[in-house]
Amino acid sequence: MIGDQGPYDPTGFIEGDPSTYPVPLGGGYYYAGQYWTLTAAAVIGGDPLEVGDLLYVVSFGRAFGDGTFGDGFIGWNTNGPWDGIEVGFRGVSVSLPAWEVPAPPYSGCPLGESMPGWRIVIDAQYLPESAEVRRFGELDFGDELFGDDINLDVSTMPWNDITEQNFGVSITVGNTDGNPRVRVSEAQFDFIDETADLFAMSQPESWFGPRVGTIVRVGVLAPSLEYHPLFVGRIESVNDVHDQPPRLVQVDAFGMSFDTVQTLPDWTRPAETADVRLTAIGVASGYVWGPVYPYPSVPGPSLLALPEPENVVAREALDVAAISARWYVNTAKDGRLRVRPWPEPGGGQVITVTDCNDAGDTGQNRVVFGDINYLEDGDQVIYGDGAPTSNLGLLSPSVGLFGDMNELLNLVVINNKDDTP
Amino acid sequence: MTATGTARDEGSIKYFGERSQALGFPLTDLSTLDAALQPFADAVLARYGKIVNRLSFVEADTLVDPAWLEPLVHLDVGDTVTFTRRGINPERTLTGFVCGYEHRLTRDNWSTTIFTTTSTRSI
Repeated sequence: MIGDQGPYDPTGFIEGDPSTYPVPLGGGYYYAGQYWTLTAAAVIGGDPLEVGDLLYVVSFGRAFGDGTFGDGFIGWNTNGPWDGIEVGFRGVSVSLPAWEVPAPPYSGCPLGESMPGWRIVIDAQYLPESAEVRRFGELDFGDELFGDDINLDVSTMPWNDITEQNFGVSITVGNTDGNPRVRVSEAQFDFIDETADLFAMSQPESWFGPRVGTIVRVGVLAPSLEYHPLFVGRIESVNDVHDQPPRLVQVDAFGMSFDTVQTLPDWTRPAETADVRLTAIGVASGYVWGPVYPYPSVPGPSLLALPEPENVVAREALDVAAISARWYVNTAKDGRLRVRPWPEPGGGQVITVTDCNDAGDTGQNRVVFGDINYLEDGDQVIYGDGAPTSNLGLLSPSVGLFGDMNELLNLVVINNKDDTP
Repeated sequence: MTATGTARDEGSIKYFGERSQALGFPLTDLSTLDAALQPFADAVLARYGKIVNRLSFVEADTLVDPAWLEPLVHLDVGDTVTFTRRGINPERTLTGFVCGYEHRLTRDNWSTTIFTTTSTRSI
């Protein structure tokens, strides 16, 4: 049985001593997806865990030298069964705010045979059916939406794995030219949901699943089970187009910065530093998805006062305040707002790319890729075991080297706003 | 009173004409202090006054090269992409900073278009 295995007191836990490990319900072997709820604080695997945090069983295989003859098979059984000598434990801290909670080990689905051990996880914040939510007849008019939990907010709402019914996702982040006004991130999903197990259109079923307004995220689990978020956003539309079976539900989600696309009436500000103004705009817009990433500097550059009351769009005000400080606002992969210097200084990972898979410096051994139809014709697929196919860098099927004036600014004009009342 | 910072690259203007409209410029109605406007304009001119040849985008595909997987997992705005155009003489290496990307994930394939903005002068 996978899932919740009940409470576990980790006080006597000793790594490497299976006799101190939590036991699966009913005894027997361990399986991927089993977890226990801690009844005491502990440090497991180097991670400090609190009461109520979850402890997941993990396995990376029995290596030569582990255990004694007959204890278990050498190697790795992907999803179990595992015996005690094969397993370790990984804590998932549910006491963290939602933007910091990783997807649990073994959640989601394998990415595919060409990416062994990697998993994609699409999960959404909603309350499972067992949760206490507002039903018809409860509270007063206008108190809450039906189906909403009356005690939880987005920082504590649980994540639910919805990957299984998904077969395609695209994610768009940032812009194409380095413009300091960055558009909101966006994700589009295609779900096969034949009988509306996930995206229900009727109530009360829709209260216990993802729907418009639900926060959804996409990430991947590495073979080491480390979680890497790729996108966090709020569902903007759920389109169930009645056509022919199977039922295809197309879902669009916008990044959390979309929540700042709202009007701030009669907006004024005193002379202040940019970090103070950006924080104030975030608060005024009701932005709830965690604190802004550390500013490039605190205090930021000083800004002029905005003494004349004016209706402004919070997102536009964020951009103007940031650009005024020679910064810009974009969205981090965990959905939180992030402010970086502008023009973009670089400084992240360095990716070296080549259009050639041969190290020869001249002649016919060189293979230069122009336009190859690799998705439909397997003959041209360069399919490897994870090792780089070129010693020159990562092989790209298409690279755009442009000579144009799209990023040319030889006459730069910048002006500020009149700050006299 | 509004104040204005203006910066011109006469050499570039002589060849290409006045180019003042890229990347959301001209920037107006900012809250930048008067004294900070000119240094801001000068810094932008230094970066973009002579940008012509640039790395616009790079396609990544885990079926073409499985080694893309790790960089794609960690891909973020601000990363640096270096590309050498081979097969031309002389070969040309350009560097861009990631300013956006589009992931497409389906079963057994992860492809991404990586968009970059360059800091390399090329006039």
